[in-house]
Amino acid sequence: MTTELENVLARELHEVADGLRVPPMPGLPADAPTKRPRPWQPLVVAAAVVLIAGVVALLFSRQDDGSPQPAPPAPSRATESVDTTISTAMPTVPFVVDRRLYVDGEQVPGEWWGLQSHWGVWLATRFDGSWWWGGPGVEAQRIEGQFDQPPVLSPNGSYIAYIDVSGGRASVNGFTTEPGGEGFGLSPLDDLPRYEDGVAIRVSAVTDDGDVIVQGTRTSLVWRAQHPAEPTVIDLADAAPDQVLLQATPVGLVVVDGSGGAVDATDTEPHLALIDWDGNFSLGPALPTYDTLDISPGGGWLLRSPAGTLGGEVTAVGSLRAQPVGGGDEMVLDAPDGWGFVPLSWSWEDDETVLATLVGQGRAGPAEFRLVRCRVDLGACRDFPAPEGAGETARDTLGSFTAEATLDAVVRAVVSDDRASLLDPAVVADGEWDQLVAFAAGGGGSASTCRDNGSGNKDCEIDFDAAPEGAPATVYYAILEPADNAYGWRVSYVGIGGA
Amino acid sequence: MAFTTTKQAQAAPAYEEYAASAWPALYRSSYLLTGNHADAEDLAQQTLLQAFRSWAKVSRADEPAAYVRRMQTNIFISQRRPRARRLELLTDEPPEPRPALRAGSAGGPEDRMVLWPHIASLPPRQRAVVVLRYYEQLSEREIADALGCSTGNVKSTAHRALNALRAAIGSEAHQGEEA
Repeated sequence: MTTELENVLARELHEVADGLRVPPMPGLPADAPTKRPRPWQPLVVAAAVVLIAGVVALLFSRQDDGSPQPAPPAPSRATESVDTTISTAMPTVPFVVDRRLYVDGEQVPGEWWGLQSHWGVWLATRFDGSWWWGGPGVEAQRIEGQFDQPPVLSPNGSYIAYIDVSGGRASVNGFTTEPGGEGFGLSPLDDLPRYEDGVAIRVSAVTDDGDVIVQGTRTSLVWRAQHPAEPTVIDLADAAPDQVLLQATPVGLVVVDGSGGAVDATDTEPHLALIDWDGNFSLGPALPTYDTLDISPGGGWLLRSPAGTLGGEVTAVGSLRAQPVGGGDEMVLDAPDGWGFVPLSWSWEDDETVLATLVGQGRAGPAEFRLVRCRVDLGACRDFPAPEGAGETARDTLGSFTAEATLDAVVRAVVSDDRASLLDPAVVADGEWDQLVAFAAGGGGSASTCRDNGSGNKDCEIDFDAAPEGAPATVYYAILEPADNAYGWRVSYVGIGGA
Repeated sequence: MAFTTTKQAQAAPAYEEYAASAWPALYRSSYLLTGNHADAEDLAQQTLLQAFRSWAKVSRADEPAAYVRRMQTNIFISQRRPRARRLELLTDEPPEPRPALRAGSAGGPEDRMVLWPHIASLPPRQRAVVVLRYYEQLSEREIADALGCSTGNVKSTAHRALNALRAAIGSEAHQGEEA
C-alpha cells in the first residue's frame, strides 16, 4: 500500500525525468585545447591557493535547458601559486634523475632511461641496451635476451612480455612479476619474422590478464598466455581488422584505426577498446590525440603530452594535460617557471598524483634537475630537490656500450632511417651512414657477431634482409674502433665481404 | 607456428550500440540522483565507461540493465570527489543553478514541486533508494541487489528517507505559517 507522500514522490520524479532534455551522448575531448600563455606571462591571479580558470573544451554542451551557449571554454590551468598542501616527501614510485634510477629511495647501480612503473613494479633500460626489472620483494634483475623493441609491463604490474630476437627469429615470451614468478612457458609464437616491411615486430601491450598483443605491419595477434587449458592465439586480422593497438591501460586497450595508414595517435583519434575472452573486439569511447598517454592506476584520470610536443630533439616540455577519463575539465599542469618536464619522466604516484623530473631551462652550465609532484584534481604542481647522485655521473660511464650493441644501435637507426635516434651522431660518419642506408635498401637488418682484429678494433658482421640482385649470400661488415663518444665506439668503415 | 585460434563468439551486442540506446535512460536517472545536469552527465558517462571496462560481463548478464544500474548506483554512492570541490572551481560561467531549497519558489516546474527540492538534501544512499524505488519502480529485492545490501536495509533506508521528506515539507509548512 502506498501513501499519498509516496504517490507524490513517484509523480514528481517522473515529471522531472520526463521533462529533461537529454544531451547527446558525449565522447571525450578529441582535439587539443586552445593554446594558452606560458605562466611567466601576466595572469590574473585570485587569492585562492589554486585558481582554475575556464572549463575544458568539450565536444559536447552541458547546456540543455535552452539557455545561450557559452563561448568555447579554455582548459583549466594552474597558476604560479604553489599549493603547499602538495607533499614534497620522497617519491613512493621509482624515478630517474639524470640517468640515476631510484627505487624505494635507493639508487640502483647503472645509468638508466626509459623507466616504466606500475604498482611498484618497474621496468627500465640501461644505456648499454640491457633491460632490467624489479618490484616489491624482487631485486633488480636483467631480462635475458636480445630485443629490437622494448619489453612491456602490464598496467597492473603483474606481467612483463617481450620479443626475444637472439635466435634470429622473433620469439614472444614473458613472465609474471611476483616474487618467485614464472615464465609464460612454451610460447606458441616462437618463430615470427623479426621484421615486416623493415619494421620490427613488437609487443604492443600485455594486459592485466596476461594477454600479449603482438603486432607488425602484417601480423596482429593476441596470445592468451594465461589460458588455463592450452596456448591460445587470436588473430586480430579477423577480430579487429586495421586496428593498431598502441598500449594497454587500466581501463582497456588504446587503439587507432590504421586503415588510413595511422601507426600512432598523433593525427588519428584513438579509442579505448576491449578484447573479451572469446576474442570479440569492442571499440569504446574516443580519446584525445597524444604523443604519450598514461592513465592513472585506478583508471580515473588520463595524463597526456599532446600530439606534436615530444618529437625530435625536445629535451623538456613545458606542460602536461590531465582530465578525467570519464570526461570532464582538462587541467594544464605547468612546469615551474624556468623548468621543464623531462620527456617521459612522468608517472602516476596514485590516482590523483603525478611525479616527474624537471630540468632547468635557459641557463648556462651543467643541467640541473629537480623533482615535481602534481595533483591533477587541483591542477597544481610543487617542485622539490632531487636526491644527489652517488658519485656516478653520466659522463663517468659514457661509452659503456659493447661494439655489438653500438653497431646494433646504428643498424637499427639505419633500418628506420632515423639517424636522430642515435645517442650520439658521431658514432657513424656521413659516408658510412649513407653506405649502410644503401645496403639496407629499405629492409630490416641487425648487427651480428664481432671479433677483435688484433689492433683494438672490432670486425663485425651485419645481417641485412635486403641483398643486391644476384647476390643472396652477401656478407656485410663494419669495422668499429674505440672513440670518445656516447657509445665508446665509432663505425670507421663498412663494406661487403669479398668486394 | 603451432597455435590454435579461438572461434569468434556469436552475436554479443556491440558496446557502441548498447551505449547509444542506454544513454537517455541513464542520463535521466543520473539527473534524479545528482540533481544537476553537469553531475548527471558525469555520472552517466562514468557508468558507461565502467560498463565498457566490464563489457564482457555486462553483455552476457541475464539483465544487462540491472548490471549497469548497479554500477551507476555504486559510482554515485561512492563518488570520491567531494561535491564541494567542484563548486570551488572558478569558471567563465556562473554556476549552474542547484535545485531550489524551498518548495514553491518562483521558477520552472521543478521549483514548483513539493518533494523534489528536498530530495537533494537526502544522503546519497537514501536518495538512491528513493530513485530506484519510486522512479525505477524496482522491488526491494532488486534495490538490495543494486546496492549490495539486504532487503531489510532497503526498507529501513526508505523509511528514513520518507520520514526526512515528510519532516522537510512539514517544517516548510510550519515556516510558511510563521511567515
